[in-house]
Amino acid sequence: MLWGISATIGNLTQAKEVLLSPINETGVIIIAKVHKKIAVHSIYPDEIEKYPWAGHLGLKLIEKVLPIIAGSRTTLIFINTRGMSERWYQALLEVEPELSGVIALHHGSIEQALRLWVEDALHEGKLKAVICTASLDLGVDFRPVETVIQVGSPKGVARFLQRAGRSGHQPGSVSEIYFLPTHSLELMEAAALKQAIKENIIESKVPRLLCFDVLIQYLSTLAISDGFLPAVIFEEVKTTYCYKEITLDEWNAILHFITEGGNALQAYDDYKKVEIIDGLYKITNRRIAMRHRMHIGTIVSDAMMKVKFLSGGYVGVIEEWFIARLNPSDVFTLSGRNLEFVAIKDMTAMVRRSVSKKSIIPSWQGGRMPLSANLGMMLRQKLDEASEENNQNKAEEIMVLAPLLDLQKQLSHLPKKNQLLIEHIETKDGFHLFVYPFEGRLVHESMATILAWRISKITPITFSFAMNDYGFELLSDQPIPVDDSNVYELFSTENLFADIQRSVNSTEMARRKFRDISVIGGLIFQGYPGEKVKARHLQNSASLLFNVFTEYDPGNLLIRQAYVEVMEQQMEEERLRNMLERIQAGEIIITFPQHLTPFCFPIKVDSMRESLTSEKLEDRIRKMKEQLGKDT
Amino acid sequence: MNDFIKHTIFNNSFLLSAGRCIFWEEEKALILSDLHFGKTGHFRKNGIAVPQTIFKEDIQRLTAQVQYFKAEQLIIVGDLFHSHANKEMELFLKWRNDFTQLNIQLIIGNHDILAKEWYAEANITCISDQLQSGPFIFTHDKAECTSVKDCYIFSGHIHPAVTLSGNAKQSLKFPCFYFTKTYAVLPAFGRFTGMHTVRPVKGDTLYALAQNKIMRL
Repeated sequence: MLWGISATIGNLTQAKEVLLSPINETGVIIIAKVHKKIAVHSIYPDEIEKYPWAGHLGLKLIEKVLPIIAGSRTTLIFINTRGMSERWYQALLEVEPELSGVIALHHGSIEQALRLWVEDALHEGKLKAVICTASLDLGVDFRPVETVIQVGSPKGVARFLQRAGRSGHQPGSVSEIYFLPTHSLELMEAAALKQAIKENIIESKVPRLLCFDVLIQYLSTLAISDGFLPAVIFEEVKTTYCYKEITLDEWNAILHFITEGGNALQAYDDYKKVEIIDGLYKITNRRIAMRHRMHIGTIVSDAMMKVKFLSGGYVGVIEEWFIARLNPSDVFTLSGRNLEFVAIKDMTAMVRRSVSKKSIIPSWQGGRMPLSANLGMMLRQKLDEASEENNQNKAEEIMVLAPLLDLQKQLSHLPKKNQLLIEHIETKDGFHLFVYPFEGRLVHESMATILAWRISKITPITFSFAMNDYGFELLSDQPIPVDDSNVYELFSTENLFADIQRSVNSTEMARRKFRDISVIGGLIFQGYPGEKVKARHLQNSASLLFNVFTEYDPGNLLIRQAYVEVMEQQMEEERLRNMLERIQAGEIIITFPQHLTPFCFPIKVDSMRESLTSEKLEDRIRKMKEQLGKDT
Repeated sequence: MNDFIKHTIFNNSFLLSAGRCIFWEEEKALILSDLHFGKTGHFRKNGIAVPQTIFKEDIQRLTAQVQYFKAEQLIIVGDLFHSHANKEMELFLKWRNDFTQLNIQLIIGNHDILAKEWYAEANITCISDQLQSGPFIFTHDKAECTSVKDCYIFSGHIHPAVTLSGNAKQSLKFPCFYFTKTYAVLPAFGRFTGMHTVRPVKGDTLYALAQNKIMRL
């Protein structure tokens, strides 16, 4: 008997297929008709006009959190990144010193013993509040938790429900969750979430297919134990949902990769990983086996370094790149404590306690979850609701947002469901084109890419672009040739497939995918935990490897996987085509605001940028040199 | 690859090549840094399958540069080899046999850890810290060099790169030759290497390597 249990998957039938694929059964789905009551409350700023238009911390609303904490037995405060959770923990202690001793911090970089202590204390009801990250999303249930606060967008309905469900965990009781917006427009998301919960719209988990990186890892794992016979394992692998479409050619290429190491100069090579001994594929080298054991897993994080007190005592772990930027006597925050960096010794960062008020908070990377498609759709509906003049039953959040939405309307336009808003704005940074499809970050990245590509065919031009869940921005040093006369053409479905192909090659999307793939596929060696000396001669970066493979071995399996993942997960032709058709069928509104609008502001301040160019490199360098001359 | 720019120091002509090395006309010497030969081999021996084509291309580029400038000697300012010996070194030895006339001096870098005998067999003269030739000093890591009055230093080690930024949040990054008033840093010759962005101050001169061309910034 094989069971799968889930509370928050939208595509149950497909999930069942994935689960049962290896045993070739059809199975049944049992759905309990228990309706879990969830009460969602938004936390509002007193004056929406004064609440920031962009941001991700939400500390301005911290005073509003205190009565919520006071009013329930235990409260979990979910923060989207570890760095921000450190800030919240400190800020809470500053505004309410009496919380000292009854609140705690819980995230993945905190020492495990401390995390377990927090979890025990939660069970026993000893804590008033715990500031946590996804580290408390799953698996553990604490009866004393009566209330949950979500700071910032949860980015998806399923995750929001998951977190809400941490409170009122007994049958029959109500889950109480508060949504605290980190910038004003985020309140729209609260309205969208409420609607999605009401209509029971939950995200699908789309199964990934033909992940060669994971297969390489699996085969290496078999090879470090008793070894494997390809004929036997090929049959086994093919029974899984993920690899049922694998071809014999692909399989052979993988075997070739792990035994011969792909392209090589035959006479001058001593590649060694998996060896074939009497037909059995095995790893015999102890160091290679050990290195593999250390790297088993598919959750990729940056290389970490231990943090210890000079006087002894372990604090936690921190990203190596963060420590690398510190100078001795710099103060940073970890585990809710201010620590002075002293030195690196034996691959450990040595610190001492600091009383300094100022400290650097590590900004853990990651934390850029895209809004799910479902939430995007809900958001568009809510926006439509906002633009209805005579609707008396608008969501509470939209009523609160009215002054901001009015300003958007006054400066530019408030788009209806069938409208796509485009804003041309000129600032000292250059010429901006803002487009708001409200489709979520991933789709926006693809759209920005295709639009930039199409415009770049009109004239030699260079773009840097940024996006959030609401829209995207193309920024250039020259006017962007988009107007009434060509805009429908730029959003047309014609030549879509070819344009997707070409634009994917001219951006960084595949490079970013390759970052995880190269680690899972065993190409990046991150060092042993606790090692005294780094294996320096094996140091490498995913970015360098991406360049090397692209130039010298473009057919490499793992590079191909990176492009396939971009095409399937992000640049999916059908989804883009549907969206373009939706835009074509509706109306495109182009405005020329004199000032930055509430919609554009959060995108403009985002520093994570992509680029695309059709200018000659020499021309770009010449322009930059001229600029250099002007600046100095 | 045959693009170069002349840079003059103390009336000596240094031709900075887009092939990531310097030809010193007066001495008919090719100055190179951070070749990291054997790096792909080292990775492969440890089960990490990087393509060796990049190493082959490095060797071919070296040949092309020697022939183009008709160099009679090589001055390598460190990190000729990446790590312990592996089979890729045999390709280098084969190359060495084709260029027996070439005098090779290596200023030992932090990666150069092969046995003395190995260098002797390859007919490479090893210099442990720094080499002086006229008013010029050659060393691997400038930070560990003892400077001599009125002398100019050539070094490597950091794999310098330059970041150019323009309007509209645009930026570009290239490997570069980095010249200050008292010392120069060469880009890494080997292509399987990372980069470190340098922050030039007034009076420094940079030459960027972009798409097989070299340009002064």
